[in-house]
Amino acid sequence: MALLAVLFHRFCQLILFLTVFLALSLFSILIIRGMPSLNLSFIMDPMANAGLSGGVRYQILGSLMLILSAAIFATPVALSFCYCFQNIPQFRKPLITVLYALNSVPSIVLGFLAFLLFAVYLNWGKSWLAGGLILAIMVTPSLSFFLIDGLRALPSTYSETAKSLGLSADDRWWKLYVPLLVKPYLTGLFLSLGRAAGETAPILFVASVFYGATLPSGIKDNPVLSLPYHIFQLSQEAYQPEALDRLWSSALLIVLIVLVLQAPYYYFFWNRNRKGSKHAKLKLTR
Amino acid sequence: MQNSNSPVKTCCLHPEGRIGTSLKIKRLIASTLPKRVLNLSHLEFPARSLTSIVGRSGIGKSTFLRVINRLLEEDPQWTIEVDIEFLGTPIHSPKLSKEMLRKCIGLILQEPCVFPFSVKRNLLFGIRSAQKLSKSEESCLVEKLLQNVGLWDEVNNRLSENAEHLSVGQKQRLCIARSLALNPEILLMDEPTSSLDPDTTLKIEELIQSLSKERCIILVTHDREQISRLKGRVLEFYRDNLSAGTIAREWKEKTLKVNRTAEFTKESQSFIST
Repeated sequence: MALLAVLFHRFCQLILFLTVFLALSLFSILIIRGMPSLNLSFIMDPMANAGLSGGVRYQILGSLMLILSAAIFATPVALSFCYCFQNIPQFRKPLITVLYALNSVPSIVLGFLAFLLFAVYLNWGKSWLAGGLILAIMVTPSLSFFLIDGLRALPSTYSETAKSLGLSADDRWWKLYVPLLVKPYLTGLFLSLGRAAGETAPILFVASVFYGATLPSGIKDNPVLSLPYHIFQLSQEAYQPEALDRLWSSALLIVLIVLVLQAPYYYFFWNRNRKGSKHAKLKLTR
Repeated sequence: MQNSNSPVKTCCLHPEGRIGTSLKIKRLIASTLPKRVLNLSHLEFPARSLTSIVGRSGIGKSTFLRVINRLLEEDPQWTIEVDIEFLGTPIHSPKLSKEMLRKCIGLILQEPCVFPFSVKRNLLFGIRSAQKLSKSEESCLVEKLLQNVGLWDEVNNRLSENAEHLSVGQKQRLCIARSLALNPEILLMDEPTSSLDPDTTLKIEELIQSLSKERCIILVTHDREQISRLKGRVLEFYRDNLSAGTIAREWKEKTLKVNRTAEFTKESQSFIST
């Protein structure tokens, strides 16, 4: 038994070492290959010559636009789910089931369904708004889980105390829970958006093109450029050295954007044991 | 009677101020299947009085407090049948909403529960949901409440600090002040000194005694020495028959209180010597 325990301990250490080694190797390769072409003009200039020269200005702006619209659409929906979870107990089980189910739908399937709805049925063509909406649908379950986890982490005495002070359910929601859910909301939002920023499949169907778009001026037939789609297209032309350099730089750039978006999560995670931040405890799962 | 200088006008529903009976319990049955926990009847709690409730653990003292301010009826595991009058109005009367009743009947928990907000925000948490106050009224109220509970000198320069950083005793006094902000008719206290050191316990006891001069205090306690220190009547919760639920009897004589304390002290001494 003791030998088994030692072997298991060593096995865990080995797995941990391999994981850290793999992650460091990936980041090292990205930095070594991506850094030489990653400069200010690459970030600020628009694309030229089918991606073989110029920069990725509109790809960055397009990606940020999709992320921002996803955040705007996902926030009220996730908050409503959280409100229902708190105030309608009989709604809890169905809600959690629906969120798990939604979370497990592959992004390519969501993209296809969004294509049928927005491009075919509503006749929007490719539209940034459709991209934002489909990313919001992807982001909503994880954001809701973060909010619900944040709510569950609050001591039950908070609710009892607020009730005993005569606060109605709505007062408790707005004056107690919402202020305490700001940290879980921000961490959940940025973590989910970080993941959404790298999603290619859904926006490939409904929102993004490789060239010919700048900033949208309307909704219908107003696609945007995006970094994930840009990387996908450049990888198809990887036999050309210019394309390969830009592919690495774009990949490094998107990883950096995702890391920046996830920074608040790491900040709250590493600081969660500080005095006075009990309520910000979040689970690492999901 | 309400202090005319106070901006707070939430409670004190009695037309003639705080006189007569604040709470009349005609019948109170609380059951959690399959057992009946409380079976009380004919209890009256006068205005401006202190009633201490004693009884062994699990007898239903805390349950009693939660039934009074209608916290327990939201728990589906409990069946509550009550005929209770608060200032002559049944607590389930449509005239008296659950929220209004809770504003008028404050509850102090065993473990002080402060929200992770500033001291000032904690203090005004309840009153802000009840009525709008100007900034000057708020400042005036904060100072008055903190002085009432003897906390002003300790925290007057820490009002914007997180209340979780206060000591346990300070937190408990803050909780009392937060309830007092609503000017409640009745203050229910569920072992408010159980987690406090002796000095802080004495401070809170003094506060309880002074508060009982202006409102009805119902105090649940395990500390029999505390009962002998506090003036006021004592109710003992006990069970004659396990299936019939907890009933209450009053300790009529002050001497009885002292005797019971002496018995308790003897028991403690014999326990220590063995």
